[in-house]
Amino acid sequence: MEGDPLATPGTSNGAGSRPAGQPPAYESVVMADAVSSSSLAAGRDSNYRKSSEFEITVTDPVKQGERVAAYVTYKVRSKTSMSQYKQGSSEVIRRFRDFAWLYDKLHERYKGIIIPPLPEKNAVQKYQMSTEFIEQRRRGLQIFVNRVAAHPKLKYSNELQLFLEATEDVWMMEVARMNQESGGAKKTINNTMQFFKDLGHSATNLMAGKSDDEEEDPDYLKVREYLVHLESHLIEAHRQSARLIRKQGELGIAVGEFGQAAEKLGKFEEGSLQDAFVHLGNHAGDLSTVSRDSANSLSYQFEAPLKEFTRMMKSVRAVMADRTNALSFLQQAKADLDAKRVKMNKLKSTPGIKEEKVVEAERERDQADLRLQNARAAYETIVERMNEELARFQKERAVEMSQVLRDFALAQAQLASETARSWSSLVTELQPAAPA
Amino acid sequence: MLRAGRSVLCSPRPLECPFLSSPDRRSERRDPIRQIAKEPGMDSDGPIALERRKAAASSLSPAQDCMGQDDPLGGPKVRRDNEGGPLAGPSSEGGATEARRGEAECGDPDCSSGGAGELLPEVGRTRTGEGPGAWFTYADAMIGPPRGDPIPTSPVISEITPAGDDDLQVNLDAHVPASASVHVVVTDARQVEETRLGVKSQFTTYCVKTATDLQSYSFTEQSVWRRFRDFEALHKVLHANHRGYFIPPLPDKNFIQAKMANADFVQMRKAELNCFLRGLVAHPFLYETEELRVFLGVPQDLCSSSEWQEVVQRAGARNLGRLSPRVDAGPTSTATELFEKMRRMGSPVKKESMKSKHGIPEDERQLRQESTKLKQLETFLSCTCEKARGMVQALEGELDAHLEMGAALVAFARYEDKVGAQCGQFTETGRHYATRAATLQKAGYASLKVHQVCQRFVTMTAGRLISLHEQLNLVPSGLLGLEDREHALDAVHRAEAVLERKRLRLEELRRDSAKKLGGAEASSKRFAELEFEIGSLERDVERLTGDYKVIKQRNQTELARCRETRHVALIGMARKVAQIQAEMNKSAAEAWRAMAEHLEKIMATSQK
Repeated sequence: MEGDPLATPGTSNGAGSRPAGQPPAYESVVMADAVSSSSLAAGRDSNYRKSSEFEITVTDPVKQGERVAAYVTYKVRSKTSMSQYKQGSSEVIRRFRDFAWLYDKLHERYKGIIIPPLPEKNAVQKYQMSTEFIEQRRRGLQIFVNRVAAHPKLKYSNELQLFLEATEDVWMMEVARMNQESGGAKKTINNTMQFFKDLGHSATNLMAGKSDDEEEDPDYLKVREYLVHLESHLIEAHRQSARLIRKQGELGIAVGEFGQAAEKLGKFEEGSLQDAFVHLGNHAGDLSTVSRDSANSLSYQFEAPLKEFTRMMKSVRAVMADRTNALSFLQQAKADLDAKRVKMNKLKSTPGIKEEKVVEAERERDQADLRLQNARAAYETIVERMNEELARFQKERAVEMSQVLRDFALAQAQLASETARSWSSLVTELQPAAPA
Repeated sequence: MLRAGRSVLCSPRPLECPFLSSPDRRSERRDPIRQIAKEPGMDSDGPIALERRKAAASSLSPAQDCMGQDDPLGGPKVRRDNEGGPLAGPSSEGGATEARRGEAECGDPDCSSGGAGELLPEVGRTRTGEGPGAWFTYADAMIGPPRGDPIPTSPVISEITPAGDDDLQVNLDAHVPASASVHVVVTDARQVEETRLGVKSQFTTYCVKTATDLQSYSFTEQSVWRRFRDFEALHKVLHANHRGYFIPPLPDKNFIQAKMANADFVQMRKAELNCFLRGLVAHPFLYETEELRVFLGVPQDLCSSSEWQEVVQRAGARNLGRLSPRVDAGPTSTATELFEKMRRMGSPVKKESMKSKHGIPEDERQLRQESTKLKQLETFLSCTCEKARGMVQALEGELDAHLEMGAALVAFARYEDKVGAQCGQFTETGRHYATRAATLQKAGYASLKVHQVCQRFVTMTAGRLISLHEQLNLVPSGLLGLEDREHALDAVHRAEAVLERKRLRLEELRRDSAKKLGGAEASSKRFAELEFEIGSLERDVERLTGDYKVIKQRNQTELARCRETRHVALIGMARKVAQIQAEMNKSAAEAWRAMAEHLEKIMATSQK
């Protein structure tokens, strides 16, 4: 890692600006900027793909610290036209953890919204700090921020603003403060209590032989089932595409090797065969390069977006889990309220009971009622958001999928026609070489 | 030899080929050949290709069936125009027959198909050492039933096929028809039982059909049954009688496999024997030899035919480049023979001794260089073969990946479609489902189509690359021919050595007898004996030298011829492969482009 430009802190020009000749990064495909989409794509994507208000790039990964404590920071540059932002543009240094924080916060605050996925955590690779891994992560992070910024609701969020604008010191303090607010210790206790409540709730459900699903919107249940299947399909598609790309790369290598062997054979034999097989070798070498390049660019253009789809599914799953939680919370509140009501009625109908007790019971009932209302409100917000989100998700995905597949097809077509061209020029070169 | 021979015969410029008879003769002899071609069994692509098509037809879905009929490897074209079909003869021979041959050969562990490969573990290796075997497996896989084909339903494929089939007709340039003066096909094989000395045994015989219009042949058409042993005998006799020629290689003898005689083995051997015979009839000299004529012409069992016996007996008389039995029988020469044998074991030792005793003439030295060159060529060829096999495997892998990705996408599309149908077509969500389904379906179909289209081309590529393998197989026969010459030279030298010794002995005797009084008289009988021996030895040396020269001559022409045919074959192969690959990639590009256009349309409509 010593010779790696990424390894030395302070390198201003890391993997961010990619050297000429490399394939376009896949965000250019997913985010549909000028690179991949010609005039065809121009009008189509602006609606929901790339935010018109934001222009965010994640660049310059720099390795910080040593050994186990080592981490990579990224430069997040943003330009915006949002009135909410004081400056039009800003440039901050963030590390993966900060992106993750943004994700968590958004997830917490905007329940029911499908938060764009982060690139995977990968502890092993992280410590190896391979250039490839870092580049991959950088790309993933850039897509993440851009997606958040493009989201109709999330783009107004304070968290995003903080993330994009705050200087390092302010950022640290804010993060610390907000973490405090959500309360470390308190939160865990709450969680524990919630856990026991959940247990009790599912126990009653079991006893009564019903599940929360019965209370759910049947349409939603269908969608949920669909999403679960969708995930497996996406994973399969991703797997297969990765395989295809790998195989194409292998084919390129094999052709190249064949060419080399043929060239050697040709050089050994004199005369016409020599010329012919040297041609063959040259072309095979070209083909090998072509297909290697193509395999590289395809893995950015096609495989990576597919992988992102699968990651997106995880976010969707998280949202669905939220919804389920909210629902079960609502159910619990309902049950609670019922219990309180029963208790109160009992008290009321009991003669000679103390007035305070009845008042107390009434208060409890009202509280439960309030909780129920809150829970219902929370649930309904989630449902509402989710309906919106799922529609958006479906629509977006349809477009993105078409686009990714189209680009894939175009790339394949290009590869194939280049290959065809190379082979047919070989044919013409061999024509005169054939002995009369 | 098959490939080499064919390339000569099928060369687009037959007139310039020194090994073809004049055009007027060719035109005369068209008829019998055409007749043969009309017989279904004698169709140049033979029953094997038919079988293959049949297999493809039955095991693949209907859509693929129809592709099978349009298959450029055979099909209608072959029958319509057997003489001039651009692809018919040569490619179906090269592609189908050999692919089939290779099928049985695929003993390598990476052979993906079941049955044949596992049953024949050593065949592929014994033939060519490390040689290519597995690259045939591709063709095999294509011939056999599609294993684990995840898209069994026809609607998918039927939607793919209609668009593509016309533009898939590969216009590989015309191979001018094979119009050999002798046309041989091994058409059939059957099991025969015989009882010899009360022991029952079973063997396989092969039907050899011949059509010819050569005057030297006593027939125009003949069909005989021969067993492997007969082929072997033919090879042996030819080798013995026509030393110095490069005789096409026979398939390896394989006792156990032959006894088991399973269909694949017989199939493979049949193809190999075919190759052997074609190599013989394509040979500029061997095609008219008496041995071959008798072999092809005698209707009854070869062993019991008197003509064959005669041929075999005459083999001894025309034994070129060998010491006559008389010389060999002498007590001195047995020792020499033994010594010679020992020397032969270590050829470097032999060469050393040759150099020291006799100066090696320039042309001989060149020929020896040729033989080392051939050996080097062999390594280069086998390396290229290996890589070619790797390439075919990689092609195959890509093909598989296309298939599976297509299948995954289509399954995905189906799923989206199903769910979409539940949502209703006219809701917005339903529309999105439909869009996605359509998109995925198009992508899946494109991938499947690429798979389907490329499949044929890959088979063809594999069929073409077999040329390399054939050239590799020819090398040992060349080495054998060159060895014949070296042996002949050895024999000359040996005879010369013996002659020298006898002369010395005679002189010694003369000197001795001159010293002794009346000695000359006493040993006059001895003188006469020695003189006679010397005379016959001188004739032997002369004959052997003559033989050696003939063999050397043959070696030289054979080397030139083989190089020529090899170059033609290999360049032809390279061109074909390039053409096929170009064509394949063009089709693939078209398929992808069509898909991209479809997607554009879908996207455009979904935007509205």
